[in-house]
Amino acid sequence: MKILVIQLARLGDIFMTWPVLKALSEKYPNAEIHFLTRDKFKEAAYGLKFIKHHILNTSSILGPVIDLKMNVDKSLAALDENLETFKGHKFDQIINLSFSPVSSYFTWYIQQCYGTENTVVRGYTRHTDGFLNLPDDSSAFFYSQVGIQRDNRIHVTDLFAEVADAVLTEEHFNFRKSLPVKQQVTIHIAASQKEKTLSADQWQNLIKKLLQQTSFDIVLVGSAGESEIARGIVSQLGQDPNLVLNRVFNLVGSNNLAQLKDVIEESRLLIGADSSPMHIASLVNTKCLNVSSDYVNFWETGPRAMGSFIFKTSSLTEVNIQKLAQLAVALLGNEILEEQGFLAVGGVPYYKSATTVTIAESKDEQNIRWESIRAIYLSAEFPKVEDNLMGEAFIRLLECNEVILEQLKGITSKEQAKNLSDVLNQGDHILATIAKLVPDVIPYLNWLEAEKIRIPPVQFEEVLEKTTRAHQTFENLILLQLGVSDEHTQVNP
Amino acid sequence: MKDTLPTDQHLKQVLTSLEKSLEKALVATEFNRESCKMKILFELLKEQVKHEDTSHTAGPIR
Repeated sequence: MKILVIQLARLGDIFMTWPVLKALSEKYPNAEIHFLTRDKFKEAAYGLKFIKHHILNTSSILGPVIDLKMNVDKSLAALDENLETFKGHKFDQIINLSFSPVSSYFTWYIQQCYGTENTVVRGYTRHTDGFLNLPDDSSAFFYSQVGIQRDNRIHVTDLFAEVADAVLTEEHFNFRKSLPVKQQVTIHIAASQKEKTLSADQWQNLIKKLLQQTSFDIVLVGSAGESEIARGIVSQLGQDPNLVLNRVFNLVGSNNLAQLKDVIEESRLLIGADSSPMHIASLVNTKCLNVSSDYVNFWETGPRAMGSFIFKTSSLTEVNIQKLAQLAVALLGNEILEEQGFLAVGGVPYYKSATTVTIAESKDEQNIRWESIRAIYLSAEFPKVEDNLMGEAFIRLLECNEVILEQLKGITSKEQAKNLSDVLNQGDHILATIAKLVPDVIPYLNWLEAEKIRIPPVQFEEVLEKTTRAHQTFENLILLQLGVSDEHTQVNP
Repeated sequence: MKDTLPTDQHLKQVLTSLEKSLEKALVATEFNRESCKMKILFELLKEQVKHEDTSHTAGPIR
């Protein structure tokens, strides 16, 4: 058996894929597992001895077309040359864990060239007419509810496993080398986007406080591009005669990912934003103090080591550094935290509020949209609608959906469907407008949109039947939400 | 070619014009291996222009 896993996203996503690859190799002990990543991020697959790693060099594909001569043919030829890495293979399963448009086209093309008619494809791909294909429920869930500004709280690694049809255990996250843990705190001073992390001055202030309040060594990590920031921080710290600088080790830009993994494994605590070192920490069970902002959804991509703490702020510039230092000291001492923030405790969601006190940002803990997602997909109870506006929005959705169902019922021919397409589009537009005015109904609309996308290019009658069924289920979901119906059918088991 | 994003304004214009011609070519062709390859190229280019090569970016809808 041959399985290809495609991961064309960045470093962090590749690290979050490691446990899934391990779970697949256990599920299919005799299978050959192949793994495709981009050249730019190939280093993140270094530790996976049990897979066959393939590299997609997108620069070699884009080079000729980006050149001023715009040589499209040469680029297309380079694309095939890249995929020749699969020559001689026929995959039984192709699992795309990337969720990007380009990965969906790659998945379809690889299936055509290196699959058979029996190849099982999971994750984003394309239909035979070129439209997006969400072949499994988990991919449809990803499309509908996952991402920044969405309200999903299922961790991305768990979703990757769902898409791959693999079951994760704690052991699948164990990539430790059993290195001895040192008296050190590692700080990742940057992130893929500067908006996702603290400023150099804030890091410097935090390091200063940690040096004063603990006996731990401080290790700075980051990529070569972040070296200047690190040098600046160390230089500023050096101007304080009261600090013992031989406790600060600047490794920024000087170690590869394998060495970085060792440094993190040897650390008592990793402090940083939502970035690849944080995902490495999840693989070596190193506790994290995650400084998280609105630029990321920590519920989906936060640290996995139990007891990790998420310090969530909507304004990184206003972070109280003394508070952050206190949190780090408490985590180093394994103290029970009763602070504003979130603790990694496992399960779904993976995090829970670290305080029992009602706080202004309690919407982070109790979110009606997440409660709705749980009800729609996980058979949980539908949340009570206590907001009149939301109740009104559901009534309007029902009315509009009823009109759409009436129109669909009246369609008997393809020609008639064409004539009514304006009316149906208008219906969809009104549904979208209601969701725009009352965002708490968005999970329901997102579900409907994905279900309609999932309809394959089949005979007209079947498209009509599937579209009608999607709108009927949508109606049923809203009736359940309003407590009018009690027939709770899990829509995406 | 250096694996960085085009920053020069002129190069961006070239890319935009290429995107348009690729879009036209794709509209005229039914979906098959060749048009899929064109689509891959087109999407890779779009990533370059938008500086996006991340996950969690949902695909274009039908």
